[in-house]
Amino acid sequence: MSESIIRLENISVALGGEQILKDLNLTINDKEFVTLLGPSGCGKTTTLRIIGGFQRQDSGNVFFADELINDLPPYKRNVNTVFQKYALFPHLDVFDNIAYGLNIKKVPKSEIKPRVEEMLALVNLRGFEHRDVTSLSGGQQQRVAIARALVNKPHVLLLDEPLGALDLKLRKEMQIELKNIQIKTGITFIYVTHDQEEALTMSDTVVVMKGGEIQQIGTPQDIYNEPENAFVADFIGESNILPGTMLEDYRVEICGRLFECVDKGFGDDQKVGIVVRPEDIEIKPEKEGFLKGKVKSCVFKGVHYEMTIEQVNYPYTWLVHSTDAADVGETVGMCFYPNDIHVMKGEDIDYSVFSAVPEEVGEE
Amino acid sequence: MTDLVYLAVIAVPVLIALVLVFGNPDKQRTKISRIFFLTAIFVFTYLPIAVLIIFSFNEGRSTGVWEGFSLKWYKELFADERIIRSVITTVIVAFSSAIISTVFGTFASIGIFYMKKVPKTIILNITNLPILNADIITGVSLLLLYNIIGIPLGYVSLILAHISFNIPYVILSVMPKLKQMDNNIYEAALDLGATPMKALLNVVIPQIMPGIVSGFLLSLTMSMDDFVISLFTSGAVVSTLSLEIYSMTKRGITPEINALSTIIFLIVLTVLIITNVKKPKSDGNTRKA
Amino acid sequence: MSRFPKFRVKRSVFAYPYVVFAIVFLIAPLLLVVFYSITRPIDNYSVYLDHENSPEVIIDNLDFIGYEEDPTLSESGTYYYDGNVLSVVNYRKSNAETYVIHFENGKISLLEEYFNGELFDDTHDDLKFLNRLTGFYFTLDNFTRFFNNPDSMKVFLRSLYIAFVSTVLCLLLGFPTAYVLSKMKERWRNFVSVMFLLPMWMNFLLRTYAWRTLIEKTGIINTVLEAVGLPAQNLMYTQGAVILVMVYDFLPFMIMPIYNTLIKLDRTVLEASHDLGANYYQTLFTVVLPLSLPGIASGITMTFVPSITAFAISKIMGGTQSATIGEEIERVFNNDMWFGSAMSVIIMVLMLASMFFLSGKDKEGENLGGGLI
Repeated sequence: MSESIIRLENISVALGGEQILKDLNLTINDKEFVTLLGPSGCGKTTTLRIIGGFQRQDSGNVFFADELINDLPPYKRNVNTVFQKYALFPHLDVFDNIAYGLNIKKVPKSEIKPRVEEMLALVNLRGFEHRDVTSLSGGQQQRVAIARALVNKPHVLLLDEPLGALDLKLRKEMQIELKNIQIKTGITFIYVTHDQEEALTMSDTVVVMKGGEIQQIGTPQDIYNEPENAFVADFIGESNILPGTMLEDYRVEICGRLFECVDKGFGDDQKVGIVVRPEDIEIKPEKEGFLKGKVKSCVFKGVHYEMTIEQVNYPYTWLVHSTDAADVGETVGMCFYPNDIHVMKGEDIDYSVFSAVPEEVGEE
Repeated sequence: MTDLVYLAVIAVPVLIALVLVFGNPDKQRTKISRIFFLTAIFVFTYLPIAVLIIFSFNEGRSTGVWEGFSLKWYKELFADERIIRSVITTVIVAFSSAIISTVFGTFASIGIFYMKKVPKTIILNITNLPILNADIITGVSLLLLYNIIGIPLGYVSLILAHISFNIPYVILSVMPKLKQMDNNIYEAALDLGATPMKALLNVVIPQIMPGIVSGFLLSLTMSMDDFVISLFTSGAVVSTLSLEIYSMTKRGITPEINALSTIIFLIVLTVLIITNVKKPKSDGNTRKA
Repeated sequence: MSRFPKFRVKRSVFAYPYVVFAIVFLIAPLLLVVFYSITRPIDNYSVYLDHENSPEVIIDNLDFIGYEEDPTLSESGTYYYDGNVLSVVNYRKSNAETYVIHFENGKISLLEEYFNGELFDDTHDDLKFLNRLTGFYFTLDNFTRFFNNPDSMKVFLRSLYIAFVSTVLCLLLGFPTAYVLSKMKERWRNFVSVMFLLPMWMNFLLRTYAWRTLIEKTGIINTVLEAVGLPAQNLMYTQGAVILVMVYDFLPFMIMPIYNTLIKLDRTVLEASHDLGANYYQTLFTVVLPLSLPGIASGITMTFVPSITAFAISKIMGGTQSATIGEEIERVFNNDMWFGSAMSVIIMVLMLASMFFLSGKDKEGENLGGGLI
């Protein structure tokens, strides 16, 4: 069990009249790759900045290795940051940018040079020492920013959506590189992103946030397979999310039909939330399906067909990913099995908000 | 000896504040030193003006001793023909040279913008000359010019001189706007059927209007504030406000100048408030980030 | 672009009238100044003596004006009398007096009095001025006079000194002011900075005069001091007074460009600096100052260069001890525009040099005119 390196206790902060974080409690474990995941405005960046010391919380405590660091300015914290827009020093070249932290700490020149060279090799920028940072591409600047932070051997590295401005291929390469660096150096990474795929790829622990509150903490598998509420289920991957009724343990009613499931402990006759992943639904001839529906669209996506199927006599449209195709207008049967049904606690919300079916242009 | 004491009393706190203001803004001492420093500079800036204004209402002539409240200097100011005439001259010269410079300069900017690189650089550097040159050099050189060409010193020479140093400021204000402007809209206008002249007037000019306006206001200000160039190019008869004030400081001053200063201050204050209150609203579409 | 029709009129023609204007009003005058600086006038005053109608004119006392003995007449001056016409050709040296032919009591003598080309005494009809040719000759006399004259050099160096000190003080006071202003919350920042820059828009003579009323013998500072029992100070007409008012007049011009540069600084770059271990002072010297150099260069340009020649301030606030070169130029120009032009050229060269030196740091005059509104 790794010990906690950073602990946030009842952190609240309001900016510009808006309450960004309210009584946030979070523990970061040492040497882990932790991702704060959520949509824009959910408070993930603010949380990161509070850890870094760039934002003061209105109330609550921040602990680093069990020491209270509320009043510690950023330059005294054993934390380094990779900023979203890189924040490189335009008046210094690549070498001096990376060496900046070392120079401030008055590390002897003889030691600085090899350390900077080591970093440049690590991020694949050997030979770039004297380049002007403003002439570099986005990807190169990002790597300089990473090198600049890492060369100081911080205990914790904060990364604020560092790959956002890169193109897809580069982003995927950098994700792998970052993960490797984290494993190799043992530095605790706290990573902020709104891209759930990125979070699932790199993290040991994912913290899903919305509206300044933590929705769920867990491993990528936990988050994906066992979402605790509709928001998490919707945010991660694509899902069909709809209301249902838990009749008793292991039995649930969905769309007016009885299903066996593997969840229990919700009580009897409770309103619950149901999650079924599109890839878990099988298309069968109409008579063989547990549920029947009319195919509204069928699009070939390469890996699978993506179909929207309107449930017969129930107001719900299913999203289905299947390697079998069906004709538009055809009525088909849909099947899914107890293992594919994920039950969540019932929430007093309008589940239609989470419809995975893409809306048409012009629709309200 | 006492001089140094006085100097120290003023300078030492300022120097201390000077060092402290750059520190950690969360610390109390930084906050206090910043407030102290700004206040000190503010007082330095406004003390003379405040005294000027206060003593414009002084009953007596003295600028050091208060003898009671009176508006008599304002009355005398408005009765003083020389000053009033010089104010009118200043306003006429400023507005006429500003208008001419703005029109002339705007079209010049457009022309310059479309020049090829080499002549463009040359003409732009020439344009910078009056701005970079000390005003006494500009004044002296224009005087020599008038001498040689034979232009008599008076209204015309004065306005021409003002135009010559105003146009560069107009160009300097308009050029950045031209650079920011999307080049294609001129062609787009032509494509949609406008004649070149119409395209210019209806499409280009509105785009660069902020630059034109700020160039105009800049010219006005430079003209009204000008002293040295006017001194050399106005001759004996024509007098602007600056020249009038200058001659008064040589002849002997009455608190009429205080009254004048007060009025000018109020005008400047009003104009600045209006331009700065109006501006945020005219950016209509900006949302809070 | 080839599918668009060829425009009949190139848009750049709009600039042609301006080019003409610039040549006449911007370039030509400066060339004239240079020209005048390397020339001096030749005066040729001729008088036709009409023997028929005038009593016999006795040319008297011509010998005592032996030009060889007179140091203000250059050796190329010449003095002619052919029985009818008396003329003097005089290469006018710097600040020399010129000679006028004066006719009085039947005697002609050369009068040491300067006149500016007008007929000095036209009550004598028989004294008809023939073509007074004024030519010019090339010489570096103007410059040598300036550099050889200890007083001129003193004034020159004093001007440089005052300008330098004023600029340094403006920098010392202006940079922190701009810094503090730029760190204010956005809501207040605009309003407060406008308040600090407001005096810039007031006539600077008024602002200069305002200080005079403050520190003169009968001014309010002395009134207050005396009321408290402290001795009255004699602050006027000193070099210190000149510097004080210079700083006062130019401070907004230093604050403004620095402020404009500072507010455009990327906040996250400063945060990165702190993130990497630098405290506020280290960040100031290693990041803020280097990045605000363009604004500082601009401020120095707008302060140092104009303050070398600002003569109204030194005239109003300073005494004869603190005359500046601007005053010198103004004073001599009416008498001797050649000498004045030479001093102007020296100033121009000085300014070009400082501009050249500073322009490496400033981006294309970005801060020179813009940003005022």
